[in-house]
Amino acid sequence: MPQSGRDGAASKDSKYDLSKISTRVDRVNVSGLLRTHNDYVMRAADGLFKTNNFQDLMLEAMSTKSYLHELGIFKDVSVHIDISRGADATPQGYEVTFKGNEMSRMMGSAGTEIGQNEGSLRTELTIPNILGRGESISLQGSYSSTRANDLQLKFWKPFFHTRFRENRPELSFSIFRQTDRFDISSFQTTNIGYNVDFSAHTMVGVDLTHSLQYENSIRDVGLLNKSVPFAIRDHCGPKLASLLRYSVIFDNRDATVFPTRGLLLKSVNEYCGLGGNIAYTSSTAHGEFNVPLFAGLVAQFCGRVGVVKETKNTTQLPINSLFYCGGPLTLRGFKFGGAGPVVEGTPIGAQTFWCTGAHLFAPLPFAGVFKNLASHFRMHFFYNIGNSNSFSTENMRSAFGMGLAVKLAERARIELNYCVPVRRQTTDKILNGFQFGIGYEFV
Amino acid sequence: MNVEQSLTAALMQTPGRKAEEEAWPADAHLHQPPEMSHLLLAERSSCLAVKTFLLMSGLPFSEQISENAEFMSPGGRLTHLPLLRLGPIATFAEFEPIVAQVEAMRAVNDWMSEDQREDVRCLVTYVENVLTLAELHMSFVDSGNYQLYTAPRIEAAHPWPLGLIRRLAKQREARRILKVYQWQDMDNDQVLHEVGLCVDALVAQLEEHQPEGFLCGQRPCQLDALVFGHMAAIATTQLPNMELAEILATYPRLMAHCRRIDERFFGGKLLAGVEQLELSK
Repeated sequence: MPQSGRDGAASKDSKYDLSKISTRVDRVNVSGLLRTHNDYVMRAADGLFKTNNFQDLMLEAMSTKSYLHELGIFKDVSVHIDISRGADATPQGYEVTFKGNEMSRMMGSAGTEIGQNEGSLRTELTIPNILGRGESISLQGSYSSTRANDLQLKFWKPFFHTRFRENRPELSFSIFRQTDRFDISSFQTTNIGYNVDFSAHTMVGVDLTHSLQYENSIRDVGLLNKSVPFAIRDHCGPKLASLLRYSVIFDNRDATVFPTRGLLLKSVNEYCGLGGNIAYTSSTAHGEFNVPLFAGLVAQFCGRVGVVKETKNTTQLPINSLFYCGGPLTLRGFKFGGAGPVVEGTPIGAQTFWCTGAHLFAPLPFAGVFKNLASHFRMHFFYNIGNSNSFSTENMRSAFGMGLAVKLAERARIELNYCVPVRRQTTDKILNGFQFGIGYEFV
Repeated sequence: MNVEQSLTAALMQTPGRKAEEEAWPADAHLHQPPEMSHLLLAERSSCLAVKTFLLMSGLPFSEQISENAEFMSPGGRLTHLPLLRLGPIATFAEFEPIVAQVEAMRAVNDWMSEDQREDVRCLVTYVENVLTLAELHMSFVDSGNYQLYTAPRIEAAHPWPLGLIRRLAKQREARRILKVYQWQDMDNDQVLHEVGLCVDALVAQLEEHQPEGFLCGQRPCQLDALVFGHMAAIATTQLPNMELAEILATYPRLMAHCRRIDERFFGGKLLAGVEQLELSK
C-alpha cells in the first residue's frame, strides 16, 4: 500500500485511521471493454472522484466494483489502487483501475429452480451485452412434472448508466408460453403472449421497487379429464387478455429466507380489459413482519389477501385468475386448494381469500455445535387462520403444528410440518399429519 | 324363504327400476354458439339435426347460447357441436353420440325391428359423413365461400389476433378431416356427385316407405332429423356459391319431405324463405 510513504508524517498518531488520510482521485481506468461502449461504464467513476480520504476511496471502490457487476457485462472485476504517476499527477493523487473480464458471447445454464410449491428443471441460454450497453437476450425453458411448463424469450435493457442510476430502471420485453395445471380443479391453462415490463426503484422516504407491466396473451383453458362439472367446463376455450399489472415491493428484512427482523410488503394489482375479451381486476397483498425475541427465537407474522372483481365489461370471471386457499404455502393442514368453494365435489377457486400465519422460528437444539450447517435449519411452530370468499371470522379455517424448515440457496424454503387442522368446513380437503412444502413466499 | 323371495323380487325389479332411473333430467341444455353470427354451415346442420331429433323424441331441453361451445365439447369426430348437457356433469357432443345416448335412456325406436334399426344406423353414419364433408368442403375448400363466408364468420367470433389464429386452426382441422376421408383433392363437381349419390339413396329410401310418410316408416326417426337438419341448413344458409343448395333443390320429393318436418316441428318457419327462392327461379 503506497499511503505510508506519502502520508507517513501527516498521520503518525493515527496510523490506522484511513479516514484521516486525504486523497484525491486523479484517474479511474476501466479496462477490458471489448464489446461494451465506453459511455456505458462512464458513471462508475462518479463516486470515486468525490472521495477525499482513503477510507471513502476504498469503500467507494468496492461499491463501484459491485456496480460494474450489476451492469451485466463483466464476468469478474478486480480493483487496483495505485498512486498516480506522470506529468499531471497531483501530490495526493491516486489512480483506480478496474480490470474487467467481459462475459462470453453466449452463456448456457441448466439447473433446478424452486417455484411456489414445485421444483422444476430449468435451462437457459443467454446472449449478454448484445449491443454493447448491457442489452441481453435470453431463452429460458423450464419443465416441472406437477404444474407448469414454461418457455420464455426475453430481451432486456438496463438503464443503470444513465443519470437515473440510483433508480435502477430496467426495460424488458418477453414472449412467453406458459402452461399451468390446476389438477385439483381438473383444468389447465396455456398462456401465449408477450409482456413489456418497466421496473425501477424510488427512494422518496422509503425504498420501494416498482414494476409496471403490460401483458397481451391468449389464455386457453382446457380440461384434464372427462367428468368435469359444467361450472368449470363453461370456461373452456381460448380468450384474449390485455392487461396492466403494477406491483410494488417494500423490503427491509435482513435476510430473505430466515429473517430475524424487518418488514416485507408486497402488492400486485392487475387491470384486465384493455381490449380482448377477458375483463377483471385483481389485487393481492402480502405482508411479513419479523421480530427478534430472546435466545435466537424469531416471531414472524404473515398475512395475505386477494380480491378478484368484475369490471363493467365482465361477462364471466376467468377461472384461472381465481384464488386457491389451502396448502403448504397458505393454510397448512389443508390440501392445495382444499380450503375453498366446491362445485359438484370439485374445488374451484375463490373470488376473495385471506389468510394469516403466526410463526415462531427457533434454532435447532445444540445448534452451537454445528454452526455452519445449523444456520440452514430452524424449528418452526405455526398457527394459520384463513378463509375463502368471506372476510368474516365465522366459518374460518385454521390449523396449527410444528416442523422443520430448511433454507435452500438463499432463496427458497423447504418445510416439513406436522399439521393439525382445527377449524374446517365440511367440503374441505384436510391433511392431518405430515405435510411437505417448498417455495419462497409462505404465509 | 323370505330372504330368497325378496332377493328374487329385487332382481326382477332391477331392470325396471333402472329404466326409471334413467329419466330425462330436468336440466337438459343444448349448447351452441349464436346461430346467426358464428355458426358455420356444417355446425349449423349438426345443431339443427340434434334439435330436430330432440323435438321428435319429445324430450324437453333448453337452448343455451355459448360462444365457446366448441371448446366445452368433450370431443367428437366432425364438428364437435352441438353440446348436450344432461345434469351437472354429463355432456355429449355431435349428432350420433347424442342419438346413442337418447336411445340408451329412452326407448325411442322400439317400433322398429332390430334389423331396421341397424339399417337406420348405417344410413345415418353414411348421410352424416357425406353431407358434413360436403359442407366442410364447400365452406373451407371453395375459395369464394371461404373468403366471403367462412373466414369472416370465424374471425368475427374472436378479437384480433385470436380470430386469425382460430381461422387458421379451423381451416387446418377441416382439411385434416377431409384428408382422413380422402376428400381433400376433390373438386366441386366430384363433391356434388357424392352428394347426389347420397341423396339418391335417401330418395330410394323415401320411396320404399312412400305410403307411411317418413324415411323409415310411419314415425319420424333420427334419419329424418339428420336429413332435415342438413337440408334445411344448406337451403337457408346464404353462401356466395350456392351449388350445394341448388343440387338439393333438384330433389323436390326430398324437399317436400323436409317441409313436412318443418311444418310439424318448427311451425314451417325454417324453410319459409326457401319456397320464395324456388319460385323466383
